[in-house]
Amino acid sequence: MLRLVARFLKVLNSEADPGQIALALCLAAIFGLTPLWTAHNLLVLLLVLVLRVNLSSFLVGWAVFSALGYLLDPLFDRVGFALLTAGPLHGMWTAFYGTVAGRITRFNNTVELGSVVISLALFPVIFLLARALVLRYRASVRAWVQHSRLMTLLRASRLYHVYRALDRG
Amino acid sequence: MVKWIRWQGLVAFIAIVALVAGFCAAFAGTLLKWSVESTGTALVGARVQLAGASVHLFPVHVELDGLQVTDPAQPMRNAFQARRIAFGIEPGQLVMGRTFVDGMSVEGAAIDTPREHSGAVRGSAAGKRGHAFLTAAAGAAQSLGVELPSADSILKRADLHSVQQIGGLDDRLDKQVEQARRQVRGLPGDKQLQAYRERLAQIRKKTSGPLGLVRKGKQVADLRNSISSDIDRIRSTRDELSRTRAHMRSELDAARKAPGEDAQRLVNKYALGGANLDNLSALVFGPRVGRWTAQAWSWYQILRPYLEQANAGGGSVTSKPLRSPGRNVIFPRAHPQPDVLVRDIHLSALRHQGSAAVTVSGRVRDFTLQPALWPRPLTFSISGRGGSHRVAGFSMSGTLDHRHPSAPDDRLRMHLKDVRIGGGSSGRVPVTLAGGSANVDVDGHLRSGSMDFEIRTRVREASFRRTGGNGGGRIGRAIADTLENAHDFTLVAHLTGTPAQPSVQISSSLDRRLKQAVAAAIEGRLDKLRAGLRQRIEARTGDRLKAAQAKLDSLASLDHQASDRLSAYRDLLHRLQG
Repeated sequence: MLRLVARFLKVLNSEADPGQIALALCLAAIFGLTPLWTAHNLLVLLLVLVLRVNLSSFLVGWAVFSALGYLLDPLFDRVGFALLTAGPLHGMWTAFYGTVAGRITRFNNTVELGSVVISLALFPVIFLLARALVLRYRASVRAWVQHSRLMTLLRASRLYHVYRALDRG
Repeated sequence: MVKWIRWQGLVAFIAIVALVAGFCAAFAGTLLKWSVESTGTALVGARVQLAGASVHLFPVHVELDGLQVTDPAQPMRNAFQARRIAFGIEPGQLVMGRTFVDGMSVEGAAIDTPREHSGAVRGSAAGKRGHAFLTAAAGAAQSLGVELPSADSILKRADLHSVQQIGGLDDRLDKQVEQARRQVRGLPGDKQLQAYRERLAQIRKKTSGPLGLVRKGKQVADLRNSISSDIDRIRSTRDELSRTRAHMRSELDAARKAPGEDAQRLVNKYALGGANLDNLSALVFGPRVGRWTAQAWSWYQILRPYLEQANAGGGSVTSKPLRSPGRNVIFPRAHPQPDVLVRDIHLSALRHQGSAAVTVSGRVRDFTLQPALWPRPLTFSISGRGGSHRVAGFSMSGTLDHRHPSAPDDRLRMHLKDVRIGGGSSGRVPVTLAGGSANVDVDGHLRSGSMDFEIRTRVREASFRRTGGNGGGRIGRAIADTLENAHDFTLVAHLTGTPAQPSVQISSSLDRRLKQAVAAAIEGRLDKLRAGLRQRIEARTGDRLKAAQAKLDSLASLDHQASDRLSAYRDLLHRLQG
């Protein structure tokens, strides 16, 4: 776990493209907020491996968004139920339910649909926000952190030793 | 320019997917085994065990080995076991979330086999199923006493109709007598009669002239009309009195018989049970029949909820909300089909399966958990034979038609051959069925909650053994004596009503002999009891009966008064006309 966190810090401080980091976090949001064993997460996994997104960022983001997912399940359930029982969409859902894709994706489950819809809706927001935060961190926050008292304490910690070992390696 | 595609990632993706698929394939059998055991145990209420399970993917094929289903009522025996169960699943339907099995092969099927370890599960409610049948069958016998109660003990709890009848008659006679007195008092009496006589004497005096004659004629006519009118009134009253008297006399005659009728009714109800001596078979065999039907019902109850699953796909239906797993919203399908269907289950026995097993063979067709969505009902035809110590063989066939959930129609025809019977109590009779062999035939249906089953048991080589003591009194001893000499007989149980409130009627070819034996044993005592009851009831009703008779005599006297008066007026009219 320490190595993972150290890797993430290394990524933040490295020259990895902010867009790659942001995209990794967006895909982690879908992977983490939605139930794990679903068909769409296979596609997400494929994208994570095939596209040059930062794997460390993805793994850390997955852990964070998974925890958030449990807390937001009631919200997903309400959103999913509202969508599935919306009158104007009934015809579309009924047609989709009779297809193979409809049965495989299990879209008729309220938490699954609600979490997919919300995570897709948050995709552009997370991308832009993450990218902006990475750039800002590198531009101003990193220097301040390096000279802060907190950093002085951290340098004595095990996390920092692992980080330095990775940095050298 | 940043390169966004990482081709080696594709290799990693394939490797991860292959690893996960391989893991699932490797452990699918184990997972299936756990699933079958836990689901089966919850369903049956006793342990369900599998020796092993395997899943093959191309084609989709499942094999289950060494299935044992414990009998919940007998945890050391299996209700059913199979050496091997194999079936293929249609992949097209599987992708659509349905499990369709075209043909299932069950090899080495057997019933009632011994277990090495107990298969009881704590907290199972299986033993409590079928309780209503035990109560109904035992209740048919509970009302039948085996000892004669005393007359005083019967009268303490009896409701005497004769007391009410005689008391009501006496009250009515009171009113009738009072009314009759008023009527007779209001009739024209001796004074009026004397006045008419004087007028007649006046008319008979000599008169002169034509005017005198005319006047006399008018007087005679007036007198005649007055007397005639009075005669009509008296006759009307007299006739009414006569009718009332005749009616009250017949009521009094019936009231005199009431104490005797009450005594007989009470003897029938409290000494011999509501069914008289015709229900002795229920006394002896009721508990045993109750146990058999309760056991059969408990197995049917295990299967029944799964035949009645709703969800015909008519509209959007939401299942009960769960926690984080969410809720599944079900949408209507153009051609709704059941989620689980097994078209054909073929059961076969293996040779040399063991002498202690009853091997099973046959077919079950169109098994589904949603029968409303399938055009054909579940049908079964199963037979078994073997060397079980309890039954030599059986055959059963029928249908479980739950295609219309509001009107299910289940039919069963079953034959059990050489069933070993024996043991267990015979209720309140001091004799137990020690051994014997029986052929049992069951035929009937359960339709829309109402059942009609006939269970005919032909018993051979029966041996009854006294259980000692003096239980049952004289009646019990008479029954025990008859049964000791009974070896071959037929027992018929008729189940009607509903499963929640079943009604069990039991009769046997021993009925006549039992009835004769019991009647002979208690004949003298019954007469004595009846006489005792009658005597006590007559003591309670005697005074009022005497009072009623006196009132009837008063009515007779009033009737005679009215008749005498009528005769006197008629004489007068006759003299006038003469």
